[in-house]
Amino acid sequence: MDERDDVTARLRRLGQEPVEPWLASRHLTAMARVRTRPGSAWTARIKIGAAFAVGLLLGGTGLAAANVLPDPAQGVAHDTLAKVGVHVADGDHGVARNTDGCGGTTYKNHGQFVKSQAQSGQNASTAAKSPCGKPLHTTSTVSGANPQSPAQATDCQGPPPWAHSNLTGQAKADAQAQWQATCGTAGTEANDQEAPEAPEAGHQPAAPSGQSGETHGQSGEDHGSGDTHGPTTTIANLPAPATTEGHGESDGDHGQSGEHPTTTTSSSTTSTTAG
Amino acid sequence: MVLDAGDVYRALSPAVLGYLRAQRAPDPEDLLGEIFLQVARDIARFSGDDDSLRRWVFTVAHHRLVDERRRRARRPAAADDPLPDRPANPAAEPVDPELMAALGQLTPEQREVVVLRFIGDLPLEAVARITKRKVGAVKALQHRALEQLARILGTGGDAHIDDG
Repeated sequence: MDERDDVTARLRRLGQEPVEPWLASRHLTAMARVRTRPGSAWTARIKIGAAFAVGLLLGGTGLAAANVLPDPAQGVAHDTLAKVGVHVADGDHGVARNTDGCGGTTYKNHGQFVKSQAQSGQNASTAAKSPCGKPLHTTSTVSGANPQSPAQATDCQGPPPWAHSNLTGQAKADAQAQWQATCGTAGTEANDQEAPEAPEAGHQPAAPSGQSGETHGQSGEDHGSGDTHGPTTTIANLPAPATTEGHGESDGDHGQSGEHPTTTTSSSTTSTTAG
Repeated sequence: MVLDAGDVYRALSPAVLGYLRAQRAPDPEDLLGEIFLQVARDIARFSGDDDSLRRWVFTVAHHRLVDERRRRARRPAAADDPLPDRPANPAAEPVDPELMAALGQLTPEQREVVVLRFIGDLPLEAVARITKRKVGAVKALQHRALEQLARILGTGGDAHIDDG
């Protein structure tokens, strides 16, 4: 028993040996520089979680208010926030889409239309030039035509209303007059001859033909450049460049045959250049 | 009650250093500094009496020692490691070389218990909590450890010190 007491006493002395002053000074200096962590770990975690949740809520609401969320998320945000009296846009449902050239099918947007056309073996570039699925307000603005309502802009897209129907006589004259009032004069003059031809593979969709190359003159040339360089809506906004003639020559067949994408371009171009 | 880390260091650093040396911790002086740096960082979150404070500090020391041993086991020191830039402190020699050698002959479990119990001056319950053992197991380990230490130190034969 005495031996054990002696052992424990020797062990306790080991724990009472003071730390050397130089070592204690070094440690205490380092400890003084340490910034303490106030509060408990749980409190800190709860605060971080709450801040994250609030940030997520505010950020999500802000994105929903800006209508930049993906459509499904925007729809959910619309429905959810409507319950608490906050109105945000309902995704893409509120944007009117052009249905011309869609063939009776409803497409969510232009990209979906082009994709479906490409998947079904159609010419993707031809489909890309179709107005189908494009937002109406965008089409109106980009085309450079007069500011119009979406419905009016739709009327100026593609073939004129009498192109695919057998309008004759007074009905055709009325349609032409309405077209002229809405979209300008060129389209009426250009398209009062006959219906557009069916599109050929590798060519642009049918457009008013016949004398369009003659009547449209510049617009036929513009269409030629449009064939080469992309969307005609962009070309329509450009001033008549010197290259237009070159394109007109090279694409003279297009101008003559009238195989142009849309009448919108021709009308807007005509109005631009004429104006 | 607002605790000052410096006061805690002055009160408990001798016991913690003795614990580290008796456990044959690698570089016990540096490890002591790391332990009390953590104590200084976390002391604002501590609440309790002096016994709880002692138990908490030794819990930190125990975990740091285990971590350090694991780290060194994963990456053993290479023979061509650069030498330390400061000379070894002569005062770092163990106070009781004979006792230190005798502790080295105990099993790690026995040494852990007896060091926490007497050098750390912790009650059996606190040692049981730190070592995650039952109090009865701690008591048994303590009994066998003291018995063996007494035998070694009493006879002197097994406690022969080779390393000074």
